[in-house]
Amino acid sequence: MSAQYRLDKLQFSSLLPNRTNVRNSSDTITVSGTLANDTTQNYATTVPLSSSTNFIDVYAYNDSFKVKLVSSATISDIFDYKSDEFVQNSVVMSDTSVTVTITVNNNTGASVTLNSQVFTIEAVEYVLPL
Amino acid sequence: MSQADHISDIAFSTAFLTDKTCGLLSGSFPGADTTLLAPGDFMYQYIIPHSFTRPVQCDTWISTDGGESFDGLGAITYSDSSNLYVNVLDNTKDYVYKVVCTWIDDYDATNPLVPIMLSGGAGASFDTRFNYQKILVNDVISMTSSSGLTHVPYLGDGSLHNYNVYFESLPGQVWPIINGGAEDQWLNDPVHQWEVDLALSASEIELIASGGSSAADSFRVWYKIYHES
Repeated sequence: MSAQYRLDKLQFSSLLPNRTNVRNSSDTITVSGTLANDTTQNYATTVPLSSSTNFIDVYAYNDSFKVKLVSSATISDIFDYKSDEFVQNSVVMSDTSVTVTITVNNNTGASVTLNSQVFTIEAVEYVLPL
Repeated sequence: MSQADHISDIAFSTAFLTDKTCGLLSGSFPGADTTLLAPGDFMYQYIIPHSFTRPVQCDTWISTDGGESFDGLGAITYSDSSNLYVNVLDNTKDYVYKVVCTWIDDYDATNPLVPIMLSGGAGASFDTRFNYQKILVNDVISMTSSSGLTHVPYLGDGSLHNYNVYFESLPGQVWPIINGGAEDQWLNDPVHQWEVDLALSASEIELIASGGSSAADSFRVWYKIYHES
């Protein structure tokens, strides 16, 4: 029979594989330029990861707000829209890096000059016994 | 000077709460083993039983190339008292997954027994020389779909802190943040399911709730804000 114990209200347990924070790495993505109607533009950055990292949390932030990039929370939540441009992003992690790509699609019926803006992409790197 | 200064320089102290990682799951499943939740829905579901007797919070990365690369947005995992539900959007691919389960203090009054999680294959569970993500503040609030824009203030160091937020999208189910209404591909029960949108500033979390079966019903939102490094 394996041992069991209780977790509620414990401050800390050495019996848990706590999130060992290797380091936080970051880079920026600058969004700017003019998009003709019915065109798409990608803006991307690749953040190197430590060789020991096997799990990360990825955040995006501007001067005012930060969002954790998960399945239903994206950079579109903090994007400074000029018009009705469509914004989405991807987050892909390999053994050595994480790449975040912001895709802006202009299907508004007219050319759009995007609001120039900078996003910092932050990877919080962990080592977990996965 | 407060003893709490220079916290980021401290690798570890039992004075600071840390995430309680109660489950680490990695494995694979073929898309053929998933189930479409409902006709017309987008989500295909793979079920992993757990023994915690109550929901846990889940973070997920998914791969469709055999583990060469992992998509941070390609899957969503929620849990109830019996299972983890890994949801993907395509049943024609083979998946490799990593799911980290975090304990939810005071989810209810049960305080159940859970297995000790020793990482036999990966060395020590804990080493005081390493840095652990320390929690600055965590709490739970109750919201309704008519809550509107809700501001939850916190006292940080003036920077944009990292955070984690999860909520009861349906009674008895703990989900990561989902938002988008009828266009939300991760929403499988739009008649009853709540959604939460959020952004964090240097002094508060802004939460917006939507959906739900009744404006009178409430649901819980848990949040954790971390010390920098």
